[in-house]
Amino acid sequence: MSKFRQKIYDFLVRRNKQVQYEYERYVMEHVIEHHEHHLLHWKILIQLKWHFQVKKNRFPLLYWDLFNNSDSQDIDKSLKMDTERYDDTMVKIEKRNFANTLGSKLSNRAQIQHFANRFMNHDIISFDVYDTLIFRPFSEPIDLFMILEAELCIIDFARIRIEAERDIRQLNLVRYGNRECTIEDIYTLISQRTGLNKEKGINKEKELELRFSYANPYMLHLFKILSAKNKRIIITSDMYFSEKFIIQVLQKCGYDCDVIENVYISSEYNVSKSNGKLFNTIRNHYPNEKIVHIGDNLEVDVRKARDNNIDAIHYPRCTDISKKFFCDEMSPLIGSAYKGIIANHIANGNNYFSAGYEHGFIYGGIMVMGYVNWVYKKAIERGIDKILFVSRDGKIFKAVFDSFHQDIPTEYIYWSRIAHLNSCGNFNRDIYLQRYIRDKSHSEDITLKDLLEAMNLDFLTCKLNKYRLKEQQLLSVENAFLVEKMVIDNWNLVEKASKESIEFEKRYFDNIVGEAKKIAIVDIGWTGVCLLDLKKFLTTYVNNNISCSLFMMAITPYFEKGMQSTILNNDIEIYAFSNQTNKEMYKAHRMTNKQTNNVFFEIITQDTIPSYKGLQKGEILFDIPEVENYETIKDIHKGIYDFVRIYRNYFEPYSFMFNISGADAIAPIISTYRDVDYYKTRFGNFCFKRNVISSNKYVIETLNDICARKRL
Amino acid sequence: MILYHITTTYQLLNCIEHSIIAESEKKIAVLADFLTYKFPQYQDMLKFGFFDEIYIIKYADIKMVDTFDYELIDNVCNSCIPYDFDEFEEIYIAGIQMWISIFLINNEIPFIAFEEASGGLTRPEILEHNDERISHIRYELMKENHIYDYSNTYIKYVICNIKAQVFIPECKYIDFDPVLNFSNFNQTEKNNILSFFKCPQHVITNGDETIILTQQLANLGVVAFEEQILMYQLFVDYFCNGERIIFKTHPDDQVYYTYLFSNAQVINDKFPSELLPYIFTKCPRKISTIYSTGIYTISQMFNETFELDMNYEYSYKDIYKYDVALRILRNLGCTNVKSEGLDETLLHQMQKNLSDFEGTDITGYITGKEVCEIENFCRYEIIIFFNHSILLKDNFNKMIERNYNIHIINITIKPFRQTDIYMSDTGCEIILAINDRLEKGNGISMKEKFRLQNTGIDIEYDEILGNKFDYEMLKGQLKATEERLKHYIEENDELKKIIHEKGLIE
Repeated sequence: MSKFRQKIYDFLVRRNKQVQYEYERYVMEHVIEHHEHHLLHWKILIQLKWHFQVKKNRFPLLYWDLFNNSDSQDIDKSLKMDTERYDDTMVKIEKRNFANTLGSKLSNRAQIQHFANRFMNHDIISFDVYDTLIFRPFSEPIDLFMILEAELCIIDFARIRIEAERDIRQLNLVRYGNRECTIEDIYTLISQRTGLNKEKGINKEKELELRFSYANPYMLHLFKILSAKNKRIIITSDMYFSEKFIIQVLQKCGYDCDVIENVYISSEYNVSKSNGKLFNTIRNHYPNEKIVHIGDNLEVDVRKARDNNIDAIHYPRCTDISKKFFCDEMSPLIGSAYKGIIANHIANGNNYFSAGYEHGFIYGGIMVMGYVNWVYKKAIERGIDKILFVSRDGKIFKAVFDSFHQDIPTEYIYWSRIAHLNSCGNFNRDIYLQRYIRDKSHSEDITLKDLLEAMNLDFLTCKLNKYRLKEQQLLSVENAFLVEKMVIDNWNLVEKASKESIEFEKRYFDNIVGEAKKIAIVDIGWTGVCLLDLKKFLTTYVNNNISCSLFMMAITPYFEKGMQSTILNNDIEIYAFSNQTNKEMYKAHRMTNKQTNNVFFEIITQDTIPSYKGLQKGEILFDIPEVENYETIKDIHKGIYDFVRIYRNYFEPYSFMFNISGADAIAPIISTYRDVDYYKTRFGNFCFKRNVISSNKYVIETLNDICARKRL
Repeated sequence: MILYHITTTYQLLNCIEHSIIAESEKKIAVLADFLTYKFPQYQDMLKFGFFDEIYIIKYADIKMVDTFDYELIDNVCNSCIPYDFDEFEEIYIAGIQMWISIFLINNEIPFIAFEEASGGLTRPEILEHNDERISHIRYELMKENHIYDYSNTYIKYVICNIKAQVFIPECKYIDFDPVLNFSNFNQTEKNNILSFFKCPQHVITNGDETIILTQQLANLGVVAFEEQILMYQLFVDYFCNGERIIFKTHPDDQVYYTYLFSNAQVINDKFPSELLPYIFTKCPRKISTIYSTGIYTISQMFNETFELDMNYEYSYKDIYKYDVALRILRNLGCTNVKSEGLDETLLHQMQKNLSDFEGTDITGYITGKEVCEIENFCRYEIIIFFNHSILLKDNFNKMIERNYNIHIINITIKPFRQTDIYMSDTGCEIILAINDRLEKGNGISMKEKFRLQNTGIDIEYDEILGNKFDYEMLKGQLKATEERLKHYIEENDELKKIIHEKGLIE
């Protein structure tokens, strides 16, 4: 290109970034046409310049994909985001600030009864349809095409569908001077490109639209309030579907369509809200009435309406509001379904939820649902005839599992680190000594007398003198070795003392296992030792003919190089992460926030009972309960149930939607590690009993105490 | 020259009637700005001759969140009328909880108060309860100035409907019955009032209907919008099922009763419920409300009245428990039901609904309290605990230890609405304790399933069966929880001791 021509080109095209982007993209996609029909391309360039430079519009003319997908219209930024999204590892996580933004209050919407007052002085209320009256359980409307791809069994159909709509809109712009199109136009093109029967494609897409559309509860209330007040209602939408179909969708979603006075659909009027002409049509139809329009797009629904003397109220799209706290590290389809459900439920304005409920709904639901369905799949593969969920995390897992699957019986079992040490010390003497003596010598101010009592070994108190130890002496790093030696020297007595406990657990598990021959034990995490020893206990004492599969959400072994063969050998099967799979998540969990992430993680799966300690001196003991947390825990569980119920309601016919990878299930909760303030502000008073081993003295720490201690 | 200050529909009716009767050369009305939105036709009151001049007081300009701004109150009140307040022979304040009362008190101007709503003089808790939610700062100020109980010294006397009061008021009052007064007016005056309020005329009824007076509970922030819907759905399901219903909505109530109750007639017009008896072709049989004070002035015009009370705001969430508990007691042959810690009005009304309590003289006992007197366990044959945390309490544990020969049965209640995926009520539990003395307990089914028609909620209740290990585990948990409670009690005693030692309390 000569310098002169280059200058003219720069002046005409590159002076405006949006003109340049849309024009050059169009040319690149229509290279042959560019050479054969110069005039047509000049026409498009003029239209673009008129649109962006004269009219100063900020929304696109030809390419809406990036506009819809990004917060701003900064095209460079959007493109950059797409390429960079998956580059970073989770360990180098960027700091996020969820604390003051996350949740149902984020939308800052007025309560519905107050919001409705804003419409009382108008004669006609115009409603936008999608993302206002109607929701779909996806973060972007086009994500529904991924499901359509599965239904039609056409490879890459989602892309084909998006491109067909884009191309037909461009074609119509050139042909008729507007971008409007119908579903028939789109599928005519798809039919040409793929050989798909046009009617079949249209019907399937409509079927899915109908299936996945559901009422925005906030707007459903508004609609009913206004129609009960005899307000006249019209529908205004830029959409390729027909009026008849839009009415069908609204009806299915519970809107009383008999009260709808008129429907203005861009595809039928060949004018749109985006160019303002559809509003102009409405204004002409109702020249003297006071009209107000409500919709989610600031430019299209608000500015264009006001340009045509129609009052407008902006109802920001739930997914746009929620973008700030979305987790970006999920796969496209599951991520879209997850984000759509979260945003539409939390940010629609219908309810303000408690911190616990939102935590359960946003972070717990997908995690618990993904895990239990994975467990079910594994259980079916292995022919498991009973599943045991380990307390206390197992309570919510079992409840959600039972709500999905009734063909495998389940049991909630009482088991814990203390119960494990008291019953399995003879299998794993080193762990017994490690947890009871060595660990505590670093962390607790406990006298030797209290220590022996907590270990249920108070009969050894009289032997302390022999090892130059005293009852009131504190356990320390220096004397731990002697205490350990005393216990080892008297191991036969230790074994004898644990007999009562073993007998009880034997009877308890005998009752639990019943006739089952193949059982699975399910736990959340973390070292795997308790679970391995429980398996050994069951096969040794309860029934040596049973086979035991062990499932864990994640594993973080004591010793970084530990448990490797166990994992490789599938002795414990891991859902979400270990130092072998999803390593970035493993690192994020284990190596950030000074090893406090277990505390954050387990807030979701707590139960409203104390931790089980097993049988001691003829009595079943439980640890000191953190009763202060119970109301929050109930709210968290409620949030989890609700997420699961809503997700299931929409996706039940698609079994693949429940094959949620461990990475997807856990990505949202891992993303919260980026903002410790989120936990501090919302769960700062959540209580934890420090050191579950000793019973004589206990310290209740709040999450804020822990964060302060760890300087987080 | 007299002045009326008016903020609500009920007060508007009262002041119009009072003004018609009152003898004064000039009658001036000051309407709260928000009242004029409700009655854009307010200028018609001049046309009908109710008042000689009408002014608006702009309460929307008084926005106080943290601190009082007396100057702002003075400015707003002074600027609302072109007169000096000293010029009036009498000042009648209806809506005394508004800022104008503070203005008058600060300026040492005595006034006559209208009670805020019918029967409100002896039910100050209703107004307090609502105000606390709406504006805490105003609530505090009004309380400090003894406004809610009408005992401020600048209140000369109170105009109230004595028939609607719970008891004879101690303060100085004048009886004023808006319904009686209305009936004494001539036909033109009556027509003027009915025309001003745009009351519907000749609503066709056959006399067997139930009118439900609704309240603006969500607007007042008492409950959320959806909670108000559920409250009324359950109200109809439990107390008006099968009846022909007419809703008379509160002027500010936004709930869409036409959609919720397809067979009901809904009167959305904004007029005082005191005028209700004049709009029907035949007066309906029954009038019902949750706790609208509007019922007190007109109840005598209906054959039957039904009323719950403010406790329903909370107790409706437990209504399934009330229902199931009463059903079980009835099935077990109880004739008497004693209770504590519950919404007694709700329990009583529900018991009336389940009319077939007959047979033996067994007394059942229902408790919503967290701690119960241990003696109660041996006094009654059947005890129902609403509060599941009773299990965590010392008394209950002791009862088991003392072996009172009581069967403990956990009953789980599952409300489920097929059509509503958002209904997140995951169920609730009550605990049933049957004394061994009552052989009848054996063999009685603790299982039932039924549907609430308007709500569409299926209620199912059943026993939770446990094994001996469950019981053992439960005992272990109770013991651990007791330890925690003891810790709290000790900590509390310790704190009390410190406070006492430091002389902070006597």
